[in-house]
Amino acid sequence: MHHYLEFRAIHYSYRGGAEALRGVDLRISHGEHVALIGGNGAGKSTLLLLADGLLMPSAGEVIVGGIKVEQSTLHVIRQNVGLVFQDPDNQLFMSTVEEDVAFGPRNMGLSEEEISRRVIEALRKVDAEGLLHRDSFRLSGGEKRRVAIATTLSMTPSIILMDEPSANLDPKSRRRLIELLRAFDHTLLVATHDMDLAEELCQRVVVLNKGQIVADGKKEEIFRRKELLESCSLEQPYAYR
Amino acid sequence: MSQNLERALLGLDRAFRPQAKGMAREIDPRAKLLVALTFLIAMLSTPLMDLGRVAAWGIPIMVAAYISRADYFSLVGYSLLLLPFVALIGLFNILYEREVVASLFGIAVTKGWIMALAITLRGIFSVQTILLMVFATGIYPLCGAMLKLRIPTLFVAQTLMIYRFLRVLLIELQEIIFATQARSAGIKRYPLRLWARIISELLIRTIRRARTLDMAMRARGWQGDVPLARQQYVWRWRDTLFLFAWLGVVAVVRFIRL
Ligand SMILES: Nc1ncnc2c1ncn2[C@@H]1O[C@H](COP(=O)(O)OP(=O)(O)O)[C@@H](O)[C@H]1O
Ligand SMILES: [Mg+2]
Repeated sequence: MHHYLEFRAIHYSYRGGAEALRGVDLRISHGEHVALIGGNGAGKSTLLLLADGLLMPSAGEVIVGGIKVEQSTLHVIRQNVGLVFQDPDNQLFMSTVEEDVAFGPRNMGLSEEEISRRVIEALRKVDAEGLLHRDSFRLSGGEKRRVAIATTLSMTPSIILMDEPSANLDPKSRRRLIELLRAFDHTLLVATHDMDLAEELCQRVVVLNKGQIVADGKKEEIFRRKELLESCSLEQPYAYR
Repeated sequence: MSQNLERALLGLDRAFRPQAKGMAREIDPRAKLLVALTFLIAMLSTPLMDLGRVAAWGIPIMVAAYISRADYFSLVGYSLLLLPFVALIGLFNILYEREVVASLFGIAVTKGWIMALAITLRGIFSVQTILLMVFATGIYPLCGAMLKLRIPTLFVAQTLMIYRFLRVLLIELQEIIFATQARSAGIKRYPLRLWARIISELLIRTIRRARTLDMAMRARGWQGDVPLARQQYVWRWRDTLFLFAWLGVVAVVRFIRL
């Protein structure tokens, strides 16, 4: 599978809500690290949910590695796309960290040994081996976030989507997260309004505002445009001020 | 009150987690499941009027709790949570079966009372058996065993779903109570109105939670079936021994007149 991700003329309306996405065209190629920035309610989370087939577009299509996201392809899509939810409480639901991280690999039908191996490896990557037997809902915010990331890493996805990964992290955990994501050599799409995170992590930046892409380009170009960012409830990263 | 609840929730959560050690843990899950099922069938088919026999089922449960090193008292505690529901069923018997069958210290004991008591005991013992089975086996091996015994996938998937959902519900309940408490200005007893709020809030959150839980599971490749590792169970001699020893116990309690 080629790990690219493509949105074609996407529209999405929530039931009883306004249009959350209004004609989004976006293509992310293999191995690219892209920051999706935008203020609250811009439509970032919605776009990520569409990319994993958890929501289906009202119009347009989503294509992952050449495969169109639709009911019949969901199982392939979800083995290749790892989504880290905005709120870790929504991601974790098993009683122990171990069970939670094993949930994805179990669905992939792996053997018990392979599952254990992946659980340990994923937890090691996020520096959380010590949490193996803990209750997943009795962890601190930062620990929950790391475990939530491990639950997708254990499925060895080729595309990772992250929704505001640095929210609720203390500076040290945030630093570790940045290092972890930098080392990830597959396709990465990070929705965030943490401008410094976007600056450190990604070469390309896509600005979303009120359900539409208003800018898309190299980070150096985008971050220089102070007015544009401010009109989208954002601000320049520290390094550009 | 909320401290007790907190403790209860924590405990219930722990009770659901596989922690049994030693022998009880090593027995093939299929053997444990078969024992638990025959146990339930035999117990639930004990005639209600045979109160002594119904009560006797409590003894093997105690023994099983001891063997699997479960905390018997919390087991009893959790099964009592069900008390109001079973008692409600029993209540109908008290109302309809008014035939006097014995007298205790001069008080007439009707058939209805005995039946109500027996129903309550049976309900409580059923919960204890199920909790103990989950405790001694773990929910996943248990579901694996169910599939191996050709119990329909749909039923097994439902069991897992209920298990997960119950957990999530407990967490929500706790959060609502914390939030209520944080703004309760220190009042000790909550008025009924507040409880109504808590319960309606819980309902709303339940629906929301069901949605996010579903999303979280689907995002990680769940397709509505039972995600189990392709696990090989090896049936050993000791499993046969375990099975027959317990079937023997069940037969004794159910049929032998002491
Ligand atoms: N479940 C939902 N039902 C109705 N409207 C929603 C729902 N989720 C989000 N929205 C609306 O859709 C728009 C985009 O939301 P979202 O994608 O969550 O934005 P972001 O993640 O960028 O903050 C917002 O206006 C929000 O109010
Ligand atoms: Mg969002």
